[in-house]
Amino acid sequence: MNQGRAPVRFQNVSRSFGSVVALDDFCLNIDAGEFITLLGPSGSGKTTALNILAGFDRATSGEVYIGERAVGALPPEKRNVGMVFQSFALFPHMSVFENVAFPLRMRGVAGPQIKQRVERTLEMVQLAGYGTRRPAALSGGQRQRVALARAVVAEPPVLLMDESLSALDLKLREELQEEIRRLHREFGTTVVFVTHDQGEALTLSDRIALMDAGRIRQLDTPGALYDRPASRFVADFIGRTNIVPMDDGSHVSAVGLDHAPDHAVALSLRPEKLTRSPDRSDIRFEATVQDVAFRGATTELRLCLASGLPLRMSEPRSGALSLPARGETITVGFMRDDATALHE
Amino acid sequence: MTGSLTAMRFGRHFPLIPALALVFAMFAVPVAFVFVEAVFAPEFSLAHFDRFFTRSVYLTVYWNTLFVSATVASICLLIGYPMALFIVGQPERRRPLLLFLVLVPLWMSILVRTYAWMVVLGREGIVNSALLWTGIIDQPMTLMFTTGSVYVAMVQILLPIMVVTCYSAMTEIDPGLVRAARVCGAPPFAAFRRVFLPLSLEGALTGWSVIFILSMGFFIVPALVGGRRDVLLGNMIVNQIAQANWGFAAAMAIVLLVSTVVLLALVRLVAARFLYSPREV
Ligand SMILES: Nc1ncnc2c1ncn2[C@@H]1O[C@H](COP(=O)(O)OP(=O)(O)OP(=O)(O)O)[C@@H](O)[C@H]1O
Ligand SMILES: [Mg+2]
Repeated sequence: MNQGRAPVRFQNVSRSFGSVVALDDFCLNIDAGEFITLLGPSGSGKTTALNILAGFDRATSGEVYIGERAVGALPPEKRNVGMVFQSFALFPHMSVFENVAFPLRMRGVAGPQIKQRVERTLEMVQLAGYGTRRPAALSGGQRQRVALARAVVAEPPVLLMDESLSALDLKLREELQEEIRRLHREFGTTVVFVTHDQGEALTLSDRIALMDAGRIRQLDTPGALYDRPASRFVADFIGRTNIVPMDDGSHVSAVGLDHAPDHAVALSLRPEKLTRSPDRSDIRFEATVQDVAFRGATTELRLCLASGLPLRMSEPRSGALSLPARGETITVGFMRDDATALHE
Repeated sequence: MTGSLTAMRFGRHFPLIPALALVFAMFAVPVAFVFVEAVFAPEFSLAHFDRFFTRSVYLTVYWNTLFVSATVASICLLIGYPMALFIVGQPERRRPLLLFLVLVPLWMSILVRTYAWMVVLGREGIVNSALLWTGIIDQPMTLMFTTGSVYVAMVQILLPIMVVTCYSAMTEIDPGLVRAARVCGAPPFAAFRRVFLPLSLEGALTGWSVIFILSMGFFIVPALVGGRRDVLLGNMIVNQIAQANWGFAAAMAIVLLVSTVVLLALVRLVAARFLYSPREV
């Protein structure tokens, strides 16, 4: 079932709406079978990129390739992609079976084959036996499963999802994430997933393209994006972090450094990399405790540096050290390698 | 407990009461009067109905009324649906103007619009003058006082209602559905036929029904622009009233009302088997 996969390439794609530049010389190479996520704040151009790939919108300049084929001028129905929408977009006048059968009918697949393939796909999304129902008689999670089944039933080489899970509550979302991962493994399709939920992006993706203002700010694996953000924007967007400005000498010494790393404008210190234990840190400094809060598995501390900079620290509740009191001055440290120098 | 539940139910339906009272006073009561008028002449008798259904003059007009109404409603559908489709396809900021243009004629009285058709279709009317001037014809054609002129005027008068009904049904359709159909591999026409059309048919049928109902009661238009044979049931009712034959006029009014209701119920029944309605699950 793995023959259906194709690389996708955005080549210098720009799209403007009047004076608004939604995509700005956007370049992205997606490998065949890769699960890539476009992540970014609202208005960063994620939907625009996906619409251009799906054929709902045309680039002002540049070209899009699916496989070896330039598809920029093709209508959506000729691109052979599957798509899952945020609003489900199930056909309300058709049964679940007919919804899932629709792409096969449009491709001229023979009747008996349609029945077999639809039933197999409904089974894959755990909706066997729901074929005769109308979408209105399904729960939100079941509807999105039908939408998923409809998107993959014709085994398109590329699968697009725009905020496909954000209409669902947290528990369902996690369930569907599992489902999507499994479908991706089974079909081996190239997936372009759009979200502004970083947790979802980190969980699902092979690589994440972090976008801002119509451009990719960083393209990396979830781990690399988390551990080695290239800029303040990325460090701030992925996970929680402390940004320590390096252009001000007072903060440099306040976090225990004798000089700023070369060319760094700031330092990213993840809250969970800060520790009170001396044998897990090689750089140490003093800070005042401003607040202590329990968060189940961790304790969250709000600290203040001698230079006045606030810091957040997240400590596993091992119980080895007694909790500091508010207003107390404690010694905190981190491993030099865990601090990321940001160059922009 | 039961008392408070009843009170709650009453409270929920309370806002409906003025509307129901209005319907009762303005519709149910007059219809009851008409009914009484039709069957007591002065004792109880079905003589009026008997007369209506046994004389071919009346039956001919009766069938003609049904036929004209159904035809006018269908013509309005065939013209109005594509018009609504066109407006929905326009960019959002241009739509209000187009709708406004469709609705403008509704602000003029039917009488004025019917006279306007006399100006257009008359022997010395705009159409004949233009055709004579260009030399396409050398004798003025008879356009007025024909069955054709009745259809033209009725369609023109009722069309805006169809356009607006279809339009509002079409704006209810999630544009994402058509996009979804397209990515699923449907070319534009297939996406229209398999998704958009079925979802808008309910609205189109409502438009058809409204226009059918209105047409069944038309009498000014056929009287002014129709020929001698273009008589609708409405005209006969008016005539009978003018001759103070209240009983027979009332009987015909009842026939008109019942036929309309029965026919629409039949149409609904048939449609329910084939049409998707957003209300069903
Ligand atoms: N049809 C349009 N007309 C005008 N401007 C548009 C249109 N579509 C998008 N834009 C603009 O293009 C920019 C990018 O929009 P896009 O929808 O791609 O963002 P997004 O990353 O998907 O955001 P979100 O997370 O809110 O969905 C925004 O500034 C938006 O206002
Ligand atoms: Mg979007």
